[in-house]
Amino acid sequence: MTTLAAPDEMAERYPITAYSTFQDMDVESLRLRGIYKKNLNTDVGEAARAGLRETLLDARNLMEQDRRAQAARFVDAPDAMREELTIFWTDHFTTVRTGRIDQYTQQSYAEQAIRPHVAGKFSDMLLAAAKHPRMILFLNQNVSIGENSPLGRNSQKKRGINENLAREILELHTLGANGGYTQTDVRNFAKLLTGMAIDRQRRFEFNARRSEPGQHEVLGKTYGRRRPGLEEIDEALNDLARHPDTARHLAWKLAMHYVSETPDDGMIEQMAQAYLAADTALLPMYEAMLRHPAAWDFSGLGNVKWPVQYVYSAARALGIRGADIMALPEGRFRGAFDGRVARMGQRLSRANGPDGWEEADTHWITPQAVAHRISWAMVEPSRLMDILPDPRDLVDTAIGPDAPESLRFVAKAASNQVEGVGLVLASPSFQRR
Amino acid sequence: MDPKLDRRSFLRQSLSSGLLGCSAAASPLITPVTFANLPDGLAGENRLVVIILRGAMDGLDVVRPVGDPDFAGLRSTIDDGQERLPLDGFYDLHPALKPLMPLWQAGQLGFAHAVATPYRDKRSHFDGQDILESGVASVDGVESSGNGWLNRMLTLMPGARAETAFAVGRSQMMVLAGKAPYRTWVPNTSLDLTPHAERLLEVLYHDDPAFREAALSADAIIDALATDDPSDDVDTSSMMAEMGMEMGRGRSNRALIDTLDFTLNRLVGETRIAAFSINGWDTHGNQSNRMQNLLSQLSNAILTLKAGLGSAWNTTTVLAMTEFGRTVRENGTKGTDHGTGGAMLMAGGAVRGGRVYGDWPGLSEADLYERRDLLPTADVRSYAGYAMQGLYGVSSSDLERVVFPGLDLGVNPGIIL
Repeated sequence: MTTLAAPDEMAERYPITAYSTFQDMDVESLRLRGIYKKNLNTDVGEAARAGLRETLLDARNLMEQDRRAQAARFVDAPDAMREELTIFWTDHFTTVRTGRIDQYTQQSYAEQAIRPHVAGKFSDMLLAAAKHPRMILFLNQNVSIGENSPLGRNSQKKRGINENLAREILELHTLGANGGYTQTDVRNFAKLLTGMAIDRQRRFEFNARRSEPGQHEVLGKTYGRRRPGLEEIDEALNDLARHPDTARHLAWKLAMHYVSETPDDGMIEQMAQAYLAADTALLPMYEAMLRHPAAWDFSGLGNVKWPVQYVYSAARALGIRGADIMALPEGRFRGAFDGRVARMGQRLSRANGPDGWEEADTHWITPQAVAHRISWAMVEPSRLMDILPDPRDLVDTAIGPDAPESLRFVAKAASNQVEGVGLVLASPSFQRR
Repeated sequence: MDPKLDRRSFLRQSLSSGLLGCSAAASPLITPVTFANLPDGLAGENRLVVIILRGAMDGLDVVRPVGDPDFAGLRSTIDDGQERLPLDGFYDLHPALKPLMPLWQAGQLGFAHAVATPYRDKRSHFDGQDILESGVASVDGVESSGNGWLNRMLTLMPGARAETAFAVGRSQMMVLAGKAPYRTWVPNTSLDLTPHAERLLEVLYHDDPAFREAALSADAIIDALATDDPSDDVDTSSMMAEMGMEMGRGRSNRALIDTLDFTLNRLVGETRIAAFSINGWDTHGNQSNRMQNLLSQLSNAILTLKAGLGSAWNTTTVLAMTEFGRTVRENGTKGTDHGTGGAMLMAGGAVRGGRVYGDWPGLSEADLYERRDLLPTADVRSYAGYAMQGLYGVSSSDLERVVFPGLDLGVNPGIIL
């Protein structure tokens, strides 16, 4: 907890590309595509096409570096809590690629909208994520136009409200599917959100010409009393962040992820109260979780790690250093990390939908996925390291004094070091939290 | 240590303990396929294939009520009006399903319109799919039901053999998950371990049921496939190439081709019930183009099954179901938002097709559900129930109590020949 409150040292050591860099590339790629399409089969057109390809390749390379940086941070951090929480909250505010450049921006999005707030206030994170261009694009907010807005009234084309962002903010990001909202709340909230859009420079903008005029009642409170603008949208988002249903939904999600698939009701209540009392500050909520006795009940089986967490934590346990990861030859990083993680069922930055990755263990512990986890454990450590740790020592560093006897036996009985290391990392004790 | 650490005994244990049963809601790109084997003679030749269309298919776009005066103008950007495929005078079929018109004419393709599960109002894909697959009336009941309706139907069939069923897959089809034995399969499984390491893994996984089951099933499927007598299986790998099936490009299509290959492979053998998904029906924008692609996948899937099954097609029923319908009006982005009532597709030689079943509720503002959605006039579970009744003789009381607890089956219109 103390490292969470301290400055983010890992972010400095392994920087991640600024989102604005990708936005500029996006503008450039759109410009080049325009030239290419207008000049088919000419030198000008071909030059534009070559430039387009180069821009896309540059963006892809930046993304690869960013993915490496994420892995390097995870293995080097004194404790990996900030890295874990960044993964968790980035998943909470899942975005899936929508465009050619956008497919490379997941890390930058997380760096800008999520990571600065994982030890701060949820309300700030909500505002940053909901208004982030990647979210605006993913959940179609960029095409949601008030029917009675200046643009909606004047347009020849049929245009209107798109409920997608409004619905997912209520259902997934704040109140939860069981929260106390109605379809009317979704509709009115969508009307309130009109005006949030992307400008020609691919930056976030509030465009009053798209904004649905009038007052919009959401969860019993009326917004839109003043003139259209971001102020009232921010106010609504801030109110949602402070709603008791949001507090319980977030507490339940955190507890479900880090403690148990069937979290203790009392723990959730205490976490929610801590969050509300601290004006949506997250550290008190984490603390309430970790201080609750239910978090220290190891009698049940812990939650299974997601593939990305599994592979990163394995690299960490093996003692692989961030610098080693940054120095891997081209292609090797993908081969050892992201590509393998995808085969375990998690194609990074391509979650199945806005609700992000599955929590249920049964989703991840399938024969196919387990086969790929075992195969990572057996193959990759010896490819990534010259000298492997002794499997018996690895039991202590990776699992600790509570390691089951069967694991100690297996670590001893393995026929060689590669197999022993593989078995320790493939063990349920290591794959579960 | 348990001295009997052999794989087969574990397999039996993990199967009899019925550990499976959880939801994998919206999973585009992942197309697991789920099978159930029935003992000889029980199911006879009747085959049931359930396709879950994840993402909420727009029933009003697929089966268009052009005979309803209020339909005109509702779908101006989605329907370009270029090609019409009249079905019965009241409904038109979406042009992308043109390849299925011969089936319609032969009475082997039908629909149920204005249908929905009991799920209302929140319009969440995830809850909607849970309810569709569990077959229970509310989200609260999903967990307690613990399994899907196809599986509960299997429990009514005496003598299903544990040793003929196992589960493999990246994600599950909840509709077939549950206590009754069944198998699952996903393309591209590989696991290569020395026997010594394998044995040590068994030690490690012994006390963790989830891992134990997953690893043993992975082994088991490799064994089973390796020892399969080739003469038992019809080679379908070149079947689609011969038929010139064009499935389009892309990862999800590749997965669908593999899924269909394997499904056919099993259905021509012992398997009688199969379930898989076609994903991506959440057409909030650009619906016209996306439906073209999605419906091509659906029609290719049906035609592939028909061609691959040969004469067995005559005793086959395919049901394609979705979690809910979409808004009656277009949204502002050339698409539709989450709605309520929708449509279900049925195909196969066993189906009494050539008609659209159901009572039409109308599309005037006052007729709509919450003034925005098609009003459901029938429970989509009833139609699944009629199919199971027609194919396997499941009694009405079993359907209303065990398979779909609390369902009022209503009058069976006889959708199975």
